[in-house]
Amino acid sequence: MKTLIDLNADAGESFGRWKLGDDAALLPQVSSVNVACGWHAGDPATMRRSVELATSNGVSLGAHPGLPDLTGFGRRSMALTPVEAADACLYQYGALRGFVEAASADLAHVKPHGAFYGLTLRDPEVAIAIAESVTAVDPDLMLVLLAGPTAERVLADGFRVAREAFADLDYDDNGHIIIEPNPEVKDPEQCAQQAVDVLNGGVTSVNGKALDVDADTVCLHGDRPNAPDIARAIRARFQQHSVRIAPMREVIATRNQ
Amino acid sequence: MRTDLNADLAESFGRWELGDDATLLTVVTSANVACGFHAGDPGAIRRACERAATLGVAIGAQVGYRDLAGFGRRFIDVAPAELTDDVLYQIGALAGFARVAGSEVRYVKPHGALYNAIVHHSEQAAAVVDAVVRYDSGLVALGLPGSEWLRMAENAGLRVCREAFADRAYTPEATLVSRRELGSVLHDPEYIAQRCVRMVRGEPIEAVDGSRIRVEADSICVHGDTPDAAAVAQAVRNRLIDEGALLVPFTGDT
Repeated sequence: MKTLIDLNADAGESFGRWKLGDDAALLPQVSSVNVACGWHAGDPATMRRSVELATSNGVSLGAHPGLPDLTGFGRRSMALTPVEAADACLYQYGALRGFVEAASADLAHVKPHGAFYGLTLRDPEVAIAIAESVTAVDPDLMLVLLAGPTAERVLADGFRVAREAFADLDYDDNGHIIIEPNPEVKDPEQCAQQAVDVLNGGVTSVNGKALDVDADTVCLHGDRPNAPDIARAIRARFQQHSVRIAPMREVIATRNQ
Repeated sequence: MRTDLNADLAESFGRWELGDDATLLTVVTSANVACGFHAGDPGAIRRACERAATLGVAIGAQVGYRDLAGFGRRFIDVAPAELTDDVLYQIGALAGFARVAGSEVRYVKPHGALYNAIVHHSEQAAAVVDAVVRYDSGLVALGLPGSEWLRMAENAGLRVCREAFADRAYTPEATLVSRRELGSVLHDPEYIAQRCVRMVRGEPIEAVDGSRIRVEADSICVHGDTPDAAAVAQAVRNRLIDEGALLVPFTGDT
């Protein structure tokens, strides 16, 4: 069983008058946060506040670029070419980086959101294009991808990749996550058990198929209504197993030793 | 004694939910349905129209500036010709859903910063009036008494409807106290309900400085975007009915 893992969550997903997620309750529970960059969620003021909240909680910051689809919250697939995907990613990364630098903080990783994340899974060319675009700005930047063949391929190409598994989503038989358009309340203990399963190297698909998982970071969704409760349950379970939660940079450094 | 209650509906947008439309539509007689520029995605608009049609609530177009991030609450210096197009676009979009729901758009109420701007901004007021007249001169203009919007609408031959605000404080001149000022929004449901009864009866109400003013209105605007506001809206409706008021859409039968 792994004893060192990053716990990441999506945050900063409000938009103007519309509030979503309880970031103030969630951020103290995680080690990395993925901040929405304006295309699927997150207006400039929300981005600034999210960066401030992450910094004051000592949480490692990452960009969470999405597809240009506010109405669909970036959860509907769109056909982007690798070049379009790279530009979309760089644009949003740059926007968030402005706020991060203004706060004298660091941006450690990039994690595509929703259907953009799904696009990197289905099309490794997109994943590589994204990795090239953002590491051209910062060679230390980590790309967060679903633990699996695509992540291993991008890793083999020499990029820094944090391989991700999910505590609060179901997996299909291909090892892909099943994205929920509107996440509902989920049993925190069930999510905590899945997080422990990840550390033990395998999860079970919705059809009962055993899947191997080798992950550096575990994710939970900030827009799930009871996300802070899920985070607390995961932390409690990790503590029972003497698992330490640390930012993904530290987890990856240990992996490479 | 008859009056109308209006409220803003369909203010959710995609993943983001706002307001309790299902409850609010059992309270009001006229629904100001957001048309997508400041709030309201197609699904939210369709659901609001379907419920309004079922309940016999009149559907109005709540047209706004194209500013989702600002919820239409920031003034935008839109050229009049563009504003006319923007308003036409929004009325047309809503009309499609209203028609499919078996109803129709009956009136137009500008939202947020546009509402405030065309109290005085003649060019923008004229642009909105122009859009309404061009689309359907049978639509009613809903807005603030004394505004350029209603004055110009009336001059253009539109029917107008003056509205009062249930939960807002008024100046001694019977204009709204700015939201930036302390005490601009009232909170006590019973006080607000009683105040609405007085307005409907044509009796004076208390201005923010304690003086007595008359607010003449054909419709009363209530809010539903917070649990407190929804409770106020419900209290206003209940009290008006208890006092024998007939609540009917200001546009007439739907």
